[in-house]
Amino acid sequence: MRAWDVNTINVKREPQFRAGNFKFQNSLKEAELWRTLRVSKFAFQKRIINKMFRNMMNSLVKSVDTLKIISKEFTVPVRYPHYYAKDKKPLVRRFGYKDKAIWRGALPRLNTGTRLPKPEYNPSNAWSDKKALFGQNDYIDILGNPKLHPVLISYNIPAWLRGFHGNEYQMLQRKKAFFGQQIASSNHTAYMQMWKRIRHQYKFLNWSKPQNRMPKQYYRDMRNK
Amino acid sequence: MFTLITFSKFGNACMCTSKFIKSLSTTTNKLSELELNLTERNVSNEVAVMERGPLPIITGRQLPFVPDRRLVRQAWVDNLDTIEEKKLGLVDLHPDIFGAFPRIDILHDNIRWQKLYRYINWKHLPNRMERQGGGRKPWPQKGLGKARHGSIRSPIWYHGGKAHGPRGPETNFYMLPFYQRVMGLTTTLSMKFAQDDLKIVDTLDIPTDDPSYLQDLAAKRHWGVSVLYIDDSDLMPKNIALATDSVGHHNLMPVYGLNCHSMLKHETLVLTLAAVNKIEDKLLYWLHTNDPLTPAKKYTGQHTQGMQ
Repeated sequence: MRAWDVNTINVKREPQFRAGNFKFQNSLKEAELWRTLRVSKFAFQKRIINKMFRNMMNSLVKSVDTLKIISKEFTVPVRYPHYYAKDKKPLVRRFGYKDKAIWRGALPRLNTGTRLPKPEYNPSNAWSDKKALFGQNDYIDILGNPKLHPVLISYNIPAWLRGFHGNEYQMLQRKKAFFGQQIASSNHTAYMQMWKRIRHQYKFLNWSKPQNRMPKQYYRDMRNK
Repeated sequence: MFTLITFSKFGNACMCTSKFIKSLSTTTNKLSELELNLTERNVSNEVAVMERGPLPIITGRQLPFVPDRRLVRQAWVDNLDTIEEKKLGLVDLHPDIFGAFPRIDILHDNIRWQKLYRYINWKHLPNRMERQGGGRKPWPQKGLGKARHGSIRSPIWYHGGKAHGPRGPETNFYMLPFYQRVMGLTTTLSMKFAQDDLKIVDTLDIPTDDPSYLQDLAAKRHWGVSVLYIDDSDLMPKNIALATDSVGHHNLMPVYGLNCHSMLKHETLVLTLAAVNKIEDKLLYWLHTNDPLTPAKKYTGQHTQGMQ
């Protein structure tokens, strides 16, 4: 939550009624007026304060409607109200315009009786064979034959990917080593695409300028978005 | 390699005389009975309750490599014959394996490794070169008032190629250091024991092959929903193999199939005495060996020899 998250911050100030501590100065500033507003025993000073305050409030009320509510709390009961204030009515904007928008209540929805289509929740079986026995034999070189590496038992992985970890360039090289001849003879387009990609990766990894390349995490994040 | 002296009277004897059924690690296939030389015993499914002598039968075990200051852990030995539990005896457990410090970070590393090292991300999005079409300039560079383009398969076009998308199968293979995996096993076993989720049993022989027998047993003894039974060999008795076949949350495994993920997935871990002996044997060997070369050998793709 930051300052810019909030569209309007209405600061409400409580009127401070303090007895006997008010000093009336000849040069009253607006800031002081806002800070100290209370009943004073001097009627003349009171009138001036009220006049200045009312002028200020009226100018503010014209621009902000919310201060209408606040202005009532800020008003101080005085013996000499302003003559011109009695006939004043609230300012009406957009006179004659009928606003048909409903500004209260829930958002509009068509009540057809049916909800939007949503697939029925179908929970997966947490105890299927695959899930229940996941990880079995991963420690076979510790608890069984030391010569049996877990890679040798990963039958679910294609043989050319077992025990391998590399970036795209290394992956393509390995793929070419295993299946290059087969792909070349069966699907020339696929082979050419692989060959071109290898060439592109070689150039990008070896010759591209550092300022043209982002950190590895950037490309990883792009892929995982 | 040293050998532990086991003190169980009935543990191994029962296995030799009963009929065996091979329980495969994946129970999708139907179990086929191995017809061995039949003994004089009854062929009926209902097996009589084992006759035992006066309790306690098992009273102790010898433990090697235990310094004097280390406190030896102890556990009851239960039975699986009846739904009500009978304590057959009390055995000592090695503190380095069942009383190790609970290293949650190492457990996390092990679980993460188990999940990731065999995981392959098969996502592959073709780039602009691999997309069909897009060789020709769609319209002239100037004069039309349209934006300038060179190909209809560039990344900014709809149905265009993905510039920095996932490229091909991505493997996450890596191997944890050998002794980190050993430590993972010891901490997980210790955690299971400390939280009373580790039960030791003399054998996996049960009287019926009804799946509800084991579930009633687990419910009566407050073992939890899921139970993992571990025996020292991968040949299991017939009744328990049939009983656990149809139930997904009761699973059988040999000692070499034990792993951290399965131990956490199942609430209770049930070990036979023979399995406890074998586990201690293996883990203590690796904790006290002077042979650094066997685990340190990096896998260099031996399985690909002979491939095209």
